[in-house]
Amino acid sequence: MTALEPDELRRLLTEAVDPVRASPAGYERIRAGVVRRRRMRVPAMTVGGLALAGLIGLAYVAIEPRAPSILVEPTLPPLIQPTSGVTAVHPATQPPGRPGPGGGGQVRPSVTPSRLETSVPPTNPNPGDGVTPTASASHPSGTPSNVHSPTLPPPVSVPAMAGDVDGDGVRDSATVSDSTVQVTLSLFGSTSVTFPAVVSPFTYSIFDIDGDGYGELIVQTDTSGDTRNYGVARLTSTGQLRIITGSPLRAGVNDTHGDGFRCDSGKVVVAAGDRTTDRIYQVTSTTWQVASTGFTAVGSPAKTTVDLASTPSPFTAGCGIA
Amino acid sequence: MPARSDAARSEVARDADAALTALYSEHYRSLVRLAALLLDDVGLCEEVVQDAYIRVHAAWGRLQDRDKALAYLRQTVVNLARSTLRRRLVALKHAPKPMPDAASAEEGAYTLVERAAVVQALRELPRRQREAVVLRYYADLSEADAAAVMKCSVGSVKAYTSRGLAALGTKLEGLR
Repeated sequence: MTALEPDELRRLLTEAVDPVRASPAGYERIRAGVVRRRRMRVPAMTVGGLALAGLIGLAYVAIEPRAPSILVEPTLPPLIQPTSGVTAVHPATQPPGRPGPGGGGQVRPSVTPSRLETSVPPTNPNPGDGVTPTASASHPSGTPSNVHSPTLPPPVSVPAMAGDVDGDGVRDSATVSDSTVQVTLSLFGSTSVTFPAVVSPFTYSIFDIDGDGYGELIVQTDTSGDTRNYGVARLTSTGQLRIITGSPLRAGVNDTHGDGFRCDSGKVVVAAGDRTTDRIYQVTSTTWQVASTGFTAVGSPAKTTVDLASTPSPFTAGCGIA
Repeated sequence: MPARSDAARSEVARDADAALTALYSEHYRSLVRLAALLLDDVGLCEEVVQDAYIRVHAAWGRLQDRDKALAYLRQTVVNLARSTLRRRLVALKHAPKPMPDAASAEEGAYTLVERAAVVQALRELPRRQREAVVLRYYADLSEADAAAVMKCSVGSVKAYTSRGLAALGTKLEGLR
């Protein structure tokens, strides 16, 4: 093998390419290429910018919170009884110019934020069983806690006037057939809700328990001994009435035990007492807050001694129940 | 990064135009010859060099050391020659055999190049050996500069050059 000398190779290479001459149009071609590239740069940047803007727009649409017309109320837990149900609203009586149920429209400004609850605290369906209720940070005192959809029109007054379920300032009426209560709403038409039972004569009230501007329907469902039990239903974002599970509302004195409740500043105070001597009762008062998912105990129960001889009985039904 | 003002931009453009003209008049022909040694098809060498000039002009504002514009231009020619060879290999694999073109008068010079024994021997070398030999002995680059253009170490350039020289010697001896 004979290695080529560098100088020899240099000479050979130079001679080999010596016939190559530059084209006279070379410079013009380069200038034309420069101009073409400069012209292409602006459209390329424009197209790139538009593509980027499109991607940002798509990303925004993808991560954008859902529109307020979509129901945001969380799924409710099972109703009190499997036979309980909710029937659809008949929208024929909806006044013109008002947003229909679930149809997208006005946002309730004053109460909407508190309705967007993120957690559901545990509920205690039996307030008299000695279990200490837990306070809920997401339900501060005095704050309405309903989780209605923002599609409901804002209430005309907070709290709602007695008898006003849909918050429009007009009294609504209720009738019963078997265990189904039909409420004629001035805003949404008629809607009905089926309780496990409803006592006769029909005993009910429409009272704004949670102070959010929409009244809750309180119905006496049954009686055990001398104690009367009450169920509660509330208006959902779709204009329907839905039962709130775990109602602690009961009233009456049964032998040595008494129960009662009253509404106070957007909460329900439930009293449960046991007689110690004669007319003296050791009473435990528990404050409950109403949420769409149920009743939530607030704070610690207060224990007092009540002498019915000198103090009004706490074992009565309040919240507008006659 | 602050936005460049229009005045600064136009100044860079003027600077690039002037540099382009100077680089063309001084180095265009030698770069075309360099490309002719690197490419299999010498007819493409002018196209490659013109493209390199256009790219250098477009990147003029980003050049950190404008005194090294020639080195940058040379490296662009080498890179484009590599890309062209790669594209031609793919095209040759898939394209049907074309009818032979009738040679024009301008292509006479290229035909002479094609016929040169050293060019034929050079084309039989592996690509890196060919680049090392051409950069070292035609472009007269130092080993370090050739390594920078080829994006490899100086040691590799030495090895490629040594093997290339040996192979060329054998091939040329066989051709004679």
